[in-house]
Amino acid sequence: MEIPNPETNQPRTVLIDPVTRIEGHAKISIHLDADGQVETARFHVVEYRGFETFCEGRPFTEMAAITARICGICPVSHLLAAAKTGDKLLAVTIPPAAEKLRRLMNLAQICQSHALSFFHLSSPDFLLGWDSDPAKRNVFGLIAADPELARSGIRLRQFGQALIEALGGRKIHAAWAVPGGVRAPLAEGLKERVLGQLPEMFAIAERALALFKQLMDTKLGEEREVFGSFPSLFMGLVGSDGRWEHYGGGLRIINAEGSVLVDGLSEDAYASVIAEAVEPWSYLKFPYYKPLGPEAGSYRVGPLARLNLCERIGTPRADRELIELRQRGGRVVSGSLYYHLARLIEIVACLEGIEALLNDPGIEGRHVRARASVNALEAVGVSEAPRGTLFHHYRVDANGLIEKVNLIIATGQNNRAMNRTVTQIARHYLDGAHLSEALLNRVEAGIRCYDPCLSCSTHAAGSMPLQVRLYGADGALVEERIRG
Amino acid sequence: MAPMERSWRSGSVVELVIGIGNRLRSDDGVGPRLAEEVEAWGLSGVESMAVPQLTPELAPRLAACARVLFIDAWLVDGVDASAAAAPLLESLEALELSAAPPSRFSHHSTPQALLQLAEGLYGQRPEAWWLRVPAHGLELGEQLSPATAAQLVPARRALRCWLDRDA
Amino acid sequence: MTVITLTIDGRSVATASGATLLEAARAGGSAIPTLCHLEGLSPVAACRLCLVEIDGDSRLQPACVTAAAEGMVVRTTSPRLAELRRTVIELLFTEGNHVCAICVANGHCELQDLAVAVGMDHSRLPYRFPSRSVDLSHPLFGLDHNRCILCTRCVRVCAEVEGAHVWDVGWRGEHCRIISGLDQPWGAVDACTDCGKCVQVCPTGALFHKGDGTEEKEGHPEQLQVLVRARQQGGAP
Repeated sequence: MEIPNPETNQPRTVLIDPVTRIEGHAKISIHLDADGQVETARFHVVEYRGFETFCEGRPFTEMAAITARICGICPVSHLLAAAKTGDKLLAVTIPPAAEKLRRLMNLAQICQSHALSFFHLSSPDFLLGWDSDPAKRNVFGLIAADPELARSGIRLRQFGQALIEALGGRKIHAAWAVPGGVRAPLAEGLKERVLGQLPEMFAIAERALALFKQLMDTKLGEEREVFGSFPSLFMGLVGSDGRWEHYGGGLRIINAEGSVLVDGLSEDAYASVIAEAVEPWSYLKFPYYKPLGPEAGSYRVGPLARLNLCERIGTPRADRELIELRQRGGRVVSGSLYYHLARLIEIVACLEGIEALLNDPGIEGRHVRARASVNALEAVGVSEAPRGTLFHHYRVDANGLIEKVNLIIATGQNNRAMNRTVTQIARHYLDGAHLSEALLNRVEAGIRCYDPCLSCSTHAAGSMPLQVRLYGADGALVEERIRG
Repeated sequence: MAPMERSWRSGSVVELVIGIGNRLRSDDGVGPRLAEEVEAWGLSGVESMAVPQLTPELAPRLAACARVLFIDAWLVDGVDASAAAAPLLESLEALELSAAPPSRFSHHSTPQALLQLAEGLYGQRPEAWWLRVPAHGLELGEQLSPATAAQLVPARRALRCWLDRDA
Repeated sequence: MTVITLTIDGRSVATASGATLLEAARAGGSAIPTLCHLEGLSPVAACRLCLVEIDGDSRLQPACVTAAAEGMVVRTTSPRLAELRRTVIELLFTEGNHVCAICVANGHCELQDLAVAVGMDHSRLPYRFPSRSVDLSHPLFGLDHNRCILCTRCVRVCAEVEGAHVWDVGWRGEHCRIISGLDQPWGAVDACTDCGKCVQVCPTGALFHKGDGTEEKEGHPEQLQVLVRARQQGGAP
């Protein structure tokens, strides 16, 4: 593509060709106003993954296996949401051991997903600085700077993965969680093995916390204020006693001042408070809090939202960290850079939760599956995925064949916050009408705060390169950069 | 062996085959499909796995083996989509220099990045190869397109050749 | 009982007169793949997997319904037969909608096992992607026409063993499908005794227990043989 070079007025092409297996681009467009200032920026997700139509006409009992394949990074989240929706179609209360086992798997999942996000994708930004050589500002630069940190990220991920594998069998896609419970009780010897590994995992999490807190207080002072720091609503699950929750409880929505707008709401009633807007430039749907409209009603979900929403986590180590977080960022923390800190705190909460569950004799129950036939024709299941609240909504016919499916995913709910974050970063760092490396690095890092999982929401088989376009006030393309 | 230990064992696996892709995405599933075939061959000293994408925890397993083969779909479009596109078995050493730094934007990693990770963190890097099988469609579905399916025979031949079993 | 002798795959095999080629071949140690055939049910030679070559006969014959005869020379494997069997399996796969990854029978499916056995790594024939329905109207069982290969084991077991004759084959050509009752929803057929024999003998995931998820269905056709033998001999098996 030929585009004019703003410096020489000669057409020039800034294209870095992406390599194999590319189907879609995550596109970011930055629009300038007449004064050359950033007017708005948008994060577009351009290809739609047709899973919702794919499911129609299938028995609802297959939904767990189908939706678990949406994503290779977090199959557990869809598995649990599908199983919970299935429980409600059967209208059963699942055996207590089954709920504990599902909770155990979700904690392992959140733990390993956060480990990938923090240790491998994001920490190079913080440790190596924005203006360092982009070829080195990645996990390999991190190896040179702090190999132990990189190794410990892998250990933490292995820990979570191995626990998930041990619970669900080698093939996690085979749908271990089913409507009515789970397929197999806790395996012999797993408890002792996992408990034996926990001290090392706590040490890893706490070292990372100490490191990141120190960076937040020093080097990252500016980013703290610029990376998605704006008031917004937050939504997520909260336990009935105000505790941090990831599997049950009710929906809570708070505003930036901490006022509770919605509390204890059953997921069945989500449609009474949440509507989904569709924008012509993105295939992601934009859910928002109905009473306030699409703009003011946009909310954030995920680790930071969960910590903002709860009164306390309910486990000692994580609660100490939560208090520290609130000392740094206030009762409702509004800067998205804090998502990283929230992730680390949640890792601690997950480890403590895993410990408590394994020490609970109830988890060793042998009855783990309730059997029933279809007793409800419509149901909504919800769980907290690592990235935020995940809704599955099915309507079935009298025999249990799927008639309609709606999935509300975390990345969609954070979509507007990602746009605002990119806008904020572009306003701060755009230097004239030129997409500098430093800007691109920060835009990427701004989006990484939300750890968006694009394979979940879109049609990407493998890597998704980033395409950033800068538009002038007249709508003309000024510059384009692509990163594979 | 329990999964917890499996990820850390060393010595027993000499050759590792990793098929990358999503089996519900038509031709993208060709890598996992071939990796599962290798597993069914039951060769001693060969471990085979199918993964939707490469993630960092594979690095210690790479570091523990002598040779690794990545099997991936390679999307050919338009002009290249002719039946002439054939599986390509290449050494990854040669490709090293031209490899771009891996993106941290998605959760996807590249074989080169994973190898560097194995070397940087665990001090070991296996001899690495890449088998790329032409893919023609990545829509929802479990079947391979006829053009990709037709490449299974040469791909299998390349696999056997790499494993140094009768081709 | 008269004993006859014939040659199967170069081996001399002695068998009772009246035995089928399939029985003789299996007794003689030759493995012939089958799909519609099930010991305990009448043979129908519908799937054509068991075709064999007989000297002096230019046509291939289905082993399950061909009587063994004195002096016959039979081959159960040849490049021609291998090619044919693979094509049969490819036809079955392309005719329906078989998505193994999410199927209840994944890992315990006779069609899947046969695809491996005949070396079908892909289909050389185009997939037809027919639009077919799922019947979940029965309180205990389900029927997914997408996975039905029309082997008619269910039809036979219900008519011959259970005596209820709930199942039949309706329509023709590409519209051919298994029907229950007078082409009613399964759950509306009073004749059904809810015995589940059809589910046990189904070689794929077409008939299944409601509530089963992916990979959870394991058919048990051998239970049928125990039952049939017990009835023939009288008394408990």
